[in-house]
Amino acid sequence: MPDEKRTSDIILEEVIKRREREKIVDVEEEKTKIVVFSLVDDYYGFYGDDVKEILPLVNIYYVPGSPDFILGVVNIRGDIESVLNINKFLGLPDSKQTKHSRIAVAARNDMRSGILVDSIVDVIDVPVSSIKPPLSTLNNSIRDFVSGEMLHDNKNVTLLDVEKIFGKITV
Amino acid sequence: MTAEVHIGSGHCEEIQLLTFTIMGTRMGVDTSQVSEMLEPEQAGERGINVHRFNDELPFRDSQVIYNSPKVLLIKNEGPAYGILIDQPDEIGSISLNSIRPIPPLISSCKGPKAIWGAAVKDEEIILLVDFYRLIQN
Repeated sequence: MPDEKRTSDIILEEVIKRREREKIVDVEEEKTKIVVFSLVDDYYGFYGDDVKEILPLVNIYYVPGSPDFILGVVNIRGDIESVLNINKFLGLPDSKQTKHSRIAVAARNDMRSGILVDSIVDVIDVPVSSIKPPLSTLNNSIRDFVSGEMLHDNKNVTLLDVEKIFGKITV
Repeated sequence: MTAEVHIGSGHCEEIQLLTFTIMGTRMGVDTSQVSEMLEPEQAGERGINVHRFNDELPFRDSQVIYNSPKVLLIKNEGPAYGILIDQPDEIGSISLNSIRPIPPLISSCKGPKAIWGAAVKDEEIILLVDFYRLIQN
């Protein structure tokens, strides 16, 4: 049966097709790292590329004359970093500092600052496709600083844009 | 009260800093900007124009309490000008290597221009205040 396809050829073709499909799926599943954190009762996130380190709560030194949304400065291995009160900046109620509180050191362009969060929930790799545009129902004071929304543990995570936050402060 | 800044080879690189604490915030001023430290009553008797530190650089707490107030007379050629500070504790040398700039997020926003840097001493942060900029506010 010279012209007839062998079963093995048919199977091989199918295998190759499936592998090609898998490759396409792999390309589509581009992932990004997200640092999920909590503020008051909600989850928020930063893109992992923007977060340089996460520190336990250390002594924050108040700087007189600074805006309300600046908590102060901290000593990080001999360097001085500012600490942002993100609650105040976003118009959220104040959080209590607890043993779970963390300082996420974020950096974008030439700007760098610590940001006090209630807790770090998780650091995860998620498909870019799982990030949706910001909800139109978002509070006005937050909307300008949000780059997207996603789900984590069935809770909505509001993704904050570090560049927009720093940009607003330094205007 | 004298102060020197020695920069360059053969000299130590340091400033003399008078430190004080207001409402738990430790700050320091280069002693080259200060001519005298007076009791508030002495400043009153000499008719010196005295401004409370927190009037020039506001604190978050509206009620600022001075427990051990002193007046630092600013060294300048114009009229005598005093700044009321609290709890002066020491004059000490601070190495230029231990001085850091104020983080850009604070220095670039409409903030405290009179605070020009921060020194780390014994793991503690001391905010460095420029009295000449303070009275320009």
